[in-house]
Amino acid sequence: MSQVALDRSFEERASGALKDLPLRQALGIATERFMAQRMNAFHNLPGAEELRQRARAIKEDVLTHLDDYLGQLADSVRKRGGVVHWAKDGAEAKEIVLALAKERGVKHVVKSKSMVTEEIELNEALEGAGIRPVETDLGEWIIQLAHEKPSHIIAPAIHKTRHQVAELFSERLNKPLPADIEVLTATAREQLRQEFLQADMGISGVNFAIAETGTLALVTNEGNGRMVTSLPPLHLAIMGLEKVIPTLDDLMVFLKILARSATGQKASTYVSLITGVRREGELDGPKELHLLILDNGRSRFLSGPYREALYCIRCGACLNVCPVYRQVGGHAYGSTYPGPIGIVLTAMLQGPGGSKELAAASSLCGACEEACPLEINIPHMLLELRREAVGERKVSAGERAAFGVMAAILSRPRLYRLAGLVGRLFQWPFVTSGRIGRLPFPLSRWTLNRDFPPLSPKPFSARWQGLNRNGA
Amino acid sequence: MLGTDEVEFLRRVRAAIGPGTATRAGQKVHGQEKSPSRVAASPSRSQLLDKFLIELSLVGGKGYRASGPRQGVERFCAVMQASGMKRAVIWQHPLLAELGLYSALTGIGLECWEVSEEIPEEDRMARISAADVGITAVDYAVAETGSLVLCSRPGRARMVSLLPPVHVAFLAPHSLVSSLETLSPLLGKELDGPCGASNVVLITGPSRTADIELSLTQGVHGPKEVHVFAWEEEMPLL
Repeated sequence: MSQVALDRSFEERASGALKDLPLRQALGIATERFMAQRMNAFHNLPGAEELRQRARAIKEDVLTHLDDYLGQLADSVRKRGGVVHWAKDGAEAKEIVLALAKERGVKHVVKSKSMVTEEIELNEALEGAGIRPVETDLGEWIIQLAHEKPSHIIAPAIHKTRHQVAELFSERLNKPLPADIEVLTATAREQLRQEFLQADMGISGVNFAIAETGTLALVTNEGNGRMVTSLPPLHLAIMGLEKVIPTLDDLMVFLKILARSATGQKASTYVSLITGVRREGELDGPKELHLLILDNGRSRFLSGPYREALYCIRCGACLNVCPVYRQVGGHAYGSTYPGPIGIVLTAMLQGPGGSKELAAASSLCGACEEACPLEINIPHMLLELRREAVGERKVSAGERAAFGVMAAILSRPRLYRLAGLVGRLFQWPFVTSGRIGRLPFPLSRWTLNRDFPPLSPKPFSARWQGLNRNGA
Repeated sequence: MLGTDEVEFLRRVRAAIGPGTATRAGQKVHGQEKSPSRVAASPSRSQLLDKFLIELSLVGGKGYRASGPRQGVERFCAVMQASGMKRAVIWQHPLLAELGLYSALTGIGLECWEVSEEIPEEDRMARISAADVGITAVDYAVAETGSLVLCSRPGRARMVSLLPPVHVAFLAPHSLVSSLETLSPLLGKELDGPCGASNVVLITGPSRTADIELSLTQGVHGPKEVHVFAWEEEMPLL
């Protein structure tokens, strides 16, 4: 029902989503709850603003000296027995992973939730090489069984109801299961426990990598992250190059804001700090650790207007507050990363012009920037993406002409008043139940996807004068 | 080796950052931000324990406050007996040994296994996975978040706190710290050097998920229950 279909435009995907009532209901409940939890968590945190500013300062320092910090991280990881790989794009990354898996005779991989592996479509590559990857985060497992893509950065199966999940599990596991969340969760525990104990390789993402100590920090609530990085003899962690931070002190800053922004928790249930391979005498943990550091378009953003997008810690807060995301959900974006920051990240991954269509999928209301724990100026970046699209002539001549006329009217008060008068006099045939739903060509392109409020009988300037006189 | 050469990769990153910058790495952040913003009187051990137990209960854990270690063990045995558990796995740890937990458990009829290298790793993990309860000490506990901090060491398998459906942790009073900030330098020491812990985990409550309809469910992969036995005063057992 909510499959990603890239052969359709955003408009088509979005209007499909708008007709999907269960999806909109699920989205409404989830995003509403996420928002309330986040606000509550920050409300009870003294010095929250200070913490956000500190986090920004750390990120700025990291990006300014990124090569130094990455070099330091690699040295620290090697000092503790890890191996470091560097990949400039997804193709190189997949080559590295497949070669490693082949060399070690890996047949069976367990994965903990990782957006960067979604980004490079690692599962498809593993399957193509005859290796079975099993997603172990409950939400990721659900969408893997359903052959879908995540629809939210932190809650991948947010678009599914318990009934849909029960149906899916019953079919895939060949036994009837009730639409009871406890039962469904227990089923996942039982099924996946066997997978953990049998796997030859664990693949995880990285939330933060500490340059000073070579520690990889992994944040999960279910505990699957701990199993993926402890039970198989080989652990491969994949990180985007912006995930490096200088010290353990810095980690504490980010742990505090990540948990609160994502799920409203004071601390996520499990924070694993992985520093190298298993030591002599330890009873569990991988004997081999590989860290893969991926660029994949990120360095393109190091300078220029999108630099702050590399501050993103993937908490998902901007999705939950976005009026567009809240209506259409993640799949309508048709990209790995949905929502406001997702549009910018898509441009990063796909190169110039990569998300020109998506840049318009925003109301520019500013809610995303306000919710972002790093105060990333997303609206500004979305505007910049739109500007680029216009500059590259990716906009039709008609649209450009229309905006030319608009600009002429808006910059001449007398013309503006005249246009208002004409509009008020001649709009009546188009107004139905207080809205303008359809206009004649060429304006019909505008009203195809939006209603237009009719012009008020009395212009604002006239009302304003009235208000002033009454001293209101 | 496949992929991009390290030197080449970092050179490209440098080039993408653009012209040189005036600050040294870390200078800006650590120069101005170190001043403590709020100076509060440091809370007493009793206050810290109160705070810890409140936070633990908020995340779904269960705390037991004993007058001392002996009462802690008594209460633990009562809880174990009432739960009807049969198989326990336990860390090799000086505190647990001092508390005499192994003999206390076998004394009340539980089959108890102290994790060790005697049996092959695969069997070891299967045995931990089949246990009803995993018993550990903690290296630190963070009062402001209700978190337990466990460092991997010989005899202290990570999976004891994760695979069984119930995790029981013993918290000695000196292990309590107030905040993540106070924990940070202590962790630095645990990680440092060739013998540093390869794995440190901060555990805040039972394993949980909200991946179906955002409805909170406990015990998805890790334990459904977390019990912490704590006491305030360091007291000799005898």
